[in-house]
Amino acid sequence: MTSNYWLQDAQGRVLGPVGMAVLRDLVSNGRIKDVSRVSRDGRDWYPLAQVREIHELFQTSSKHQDELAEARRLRQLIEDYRTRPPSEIFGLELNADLETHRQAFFRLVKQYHPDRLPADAHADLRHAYLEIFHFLAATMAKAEADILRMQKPAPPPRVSEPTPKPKPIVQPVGQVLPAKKPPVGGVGADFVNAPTGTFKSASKGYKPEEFVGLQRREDGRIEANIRVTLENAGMFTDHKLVNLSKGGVFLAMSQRLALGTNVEVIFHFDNPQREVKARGKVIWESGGKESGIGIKFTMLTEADQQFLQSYVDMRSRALEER
Amino acid sequence: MAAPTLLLVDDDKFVRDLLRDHITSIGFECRICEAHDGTEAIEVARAEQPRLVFLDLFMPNKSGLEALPQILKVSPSSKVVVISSMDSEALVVQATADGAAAFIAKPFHPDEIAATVKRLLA
Repeated sequence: MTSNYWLQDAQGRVLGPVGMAVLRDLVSNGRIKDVSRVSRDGRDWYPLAQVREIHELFQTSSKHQDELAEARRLRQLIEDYRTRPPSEIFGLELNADLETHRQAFFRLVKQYHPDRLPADAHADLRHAYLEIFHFLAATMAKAEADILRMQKPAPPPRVSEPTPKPKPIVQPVGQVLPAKKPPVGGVGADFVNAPTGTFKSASKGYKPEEFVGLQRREDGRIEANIRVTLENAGMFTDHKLVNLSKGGVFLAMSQRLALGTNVEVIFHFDNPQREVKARGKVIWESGGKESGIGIKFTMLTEADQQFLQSYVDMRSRALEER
Repeated sequence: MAAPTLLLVDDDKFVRDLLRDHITSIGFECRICEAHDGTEAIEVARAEQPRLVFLDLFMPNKSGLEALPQILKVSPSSKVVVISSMDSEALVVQATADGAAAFIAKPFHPDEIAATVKRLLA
């Protein structure tokens, strides 16, 4: 049997009889507020707090109202952004370079990744997060296309003698690798034939998966998709404890993964275009300004290991030449 | 033929005045009665047998949802238009199941009122 309720506000106005489904709809959409008394028969009235199921409904709604207000604010923000150039949206000088744009974009867009929301967040807020995320991604893509159009091509990266074949980083799982000296030079045909002057395709937009990249697949696996450019390739070398020479990588990101979590990492290289797949385990995590996770590779093919090392070497040369 | 009677039911006098202004401004010849809650609406409906009732839902003493079936009981030929800020789909379904002929969400536009009057009294 469906229960009916009558609600009364502080002015004595009455609404009822209404079932729980109607009430839930009204409350969640903010149509009814300030209810002071509740009745189950239209005659005997009780303070709201004494009718547990209705009281809880309003308490839950209060949180959702805040979330709906935040969703409205974000949409207003998008409308405001539409009238501004990308540099202004990202808080930059008008002539800021591409990498400065990218860094500012990452800082800004991080705030709006839907994964930052609690699991029970209102669907409208989740949608608003996606809207602003995609808006910012489209803005970044446009800024990138504009900047690249105005840039002259840079000279191709210098190619050195082939490198002796390095050993696999970690095979099998758990094996501790000796630190090794990075090989000098050593790039493959990919680098020789790679287009120069740009680090990524201007026509390709950023997507959540490309940027933050952590996804839980349907079968429960954690997959991290990481876009790699010459600018951010320091992820392989910059961390003292988790770096390529020690068989791992440090990924700067706000999400946290428990130590020991198995992760499949897919690196997407733009120049030269190549995809490197590795398996690893979270062995390090840090918060604060240097928030991120350290992953130790547990499976990486010899060819991919060689490619990663060559890429790091090429990057250091490219940075020196700038 | 006598001019039809319309009943405006809302606890807010401002809303009743607004409805009256909208209806008279379209040049529709009618007699307009008012009630400020569900209980009074039933009594006026019994006495006046209005052709059309504009009924708020959230009112003191007796809500519009309670008054709706009782108005139709004492004045079976009346057509009831619910006007409410509670424009939830579930509530529209409930009001329609209880006999409402139309549902207008607040804040309403004068054109909605005019169109509804013309449609239901045609």
